[in-house]
Amino acid sequence: MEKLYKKYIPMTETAFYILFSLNEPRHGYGIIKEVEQLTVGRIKLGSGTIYGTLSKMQVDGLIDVFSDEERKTVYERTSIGNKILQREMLRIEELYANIQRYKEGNG
Amino acid sequence: MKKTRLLWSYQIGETEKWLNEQAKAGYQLENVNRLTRTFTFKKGEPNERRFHIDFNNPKQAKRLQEVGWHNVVEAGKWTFRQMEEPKLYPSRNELFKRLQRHTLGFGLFVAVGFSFISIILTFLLLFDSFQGEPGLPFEVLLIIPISISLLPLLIMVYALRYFKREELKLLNIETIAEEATIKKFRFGWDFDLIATKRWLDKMAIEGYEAVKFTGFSVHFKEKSADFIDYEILYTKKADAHSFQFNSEMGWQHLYSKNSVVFGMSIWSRARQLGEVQDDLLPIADRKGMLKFQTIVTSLFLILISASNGFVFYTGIKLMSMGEMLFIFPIIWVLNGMIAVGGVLVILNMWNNYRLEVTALKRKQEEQARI
Repeated sequence: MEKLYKKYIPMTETAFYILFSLNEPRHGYGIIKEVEQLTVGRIKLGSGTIYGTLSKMQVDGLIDVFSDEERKTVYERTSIGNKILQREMLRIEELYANIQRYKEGNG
Repeated sequence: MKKTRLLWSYQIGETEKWLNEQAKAGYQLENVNRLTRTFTFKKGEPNERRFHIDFNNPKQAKRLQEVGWHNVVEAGKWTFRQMEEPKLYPSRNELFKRLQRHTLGFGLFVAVGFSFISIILTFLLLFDSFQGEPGLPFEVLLIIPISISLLPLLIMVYALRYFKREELKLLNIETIAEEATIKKFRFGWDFDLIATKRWLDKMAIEGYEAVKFTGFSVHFKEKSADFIDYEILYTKKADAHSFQFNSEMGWQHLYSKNSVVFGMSIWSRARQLGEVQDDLLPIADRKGMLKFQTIVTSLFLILISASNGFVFYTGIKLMSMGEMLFIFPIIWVLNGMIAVGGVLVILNMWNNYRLEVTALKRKQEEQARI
């Protein structure tokens, strides 16, 4: 687990949003839409980027791959994935808190 | 009640459907015998539960139980699961890999086994004709081993097609049924894939969209959108998820060749003016793929060129010794041409590789600026 923390924290922005968007099981296309919405259209993921990230995360056990009724692939976050996301969110919260303090100090 | 289904493990979709029908008719699966390919059923209450056949997938077993699947039969690495209205199914990746292993295994078995038989037969016939027994001339007798080795070749071609069909069915990937308007002869298009990709792009600009790839040619139709994007993927191992993912993302599967060692697949995507171009591979991963492809093909071509060069060389040697038969020079010229041609193709391929990598770097810099 420590090894995984080291590998995934800090994460790239796209990796973070991909893992973050899996708060519920989603199709590849669903992930793209969700990330686009979360970032108000700023991040439009390409198939290659998203697939590359997903398959790395799958190998490391952060997510798992299933199919739905129409036999489309569905991605689901595992408990390992949850732990990593929690840890990364703590890091970003710290980042955010520091930015706030800086702003207040200069305000 | 017992029922036998010889090819059940290759026609997973059909087998599942069949098991569903049996359950609906009140026959509950009790046991599966992998050796005799026999399914044993027990008469019971009809049910509407769906079957799913899973292979070598212990990792997902727990999660599948959580969502409501229950194991009906376990036989070796196979698990037969059943559930009322399933929402989540296990992935087919392991089955896909199994199918590929079997394709290779079967191919090797047929090729090695039958060439062995035909060699033995040839020797027996040779031996027979040297005994001076009155009989048919050797050349006529040779037809027997040749036809014996042709038969398995036909079986193999048929079997490989069968496996391919089942593979695409397994992945739920549709092939294009549209009629092609023109056919372009292109020998060796699957050698230098970078060159082929550049050629396809050029054809798209001229207004043609590829629909089918055969051994020596590519079939086109008039293009269906402003732009046709192509991707040729060359990976160290074939992977079912990527196939399904690509087709779900709107990419059309045009061709694929999968083996245990590497997988190659060609995809296209129609795009209208103003739409964002999608990609099937992150730019960062592209260079590695191009290099891998170029090296693998080079090695193969070097092998062909070297062996043909060798035959050419020994041929010239033999000729200088005065051994002559009219057919020999033709064979030597062919050998020489293949050897030289192979080297030229390799050089051209590396040049294409260089061009592509330069283009990639430019793209990467552009992206970094954004």
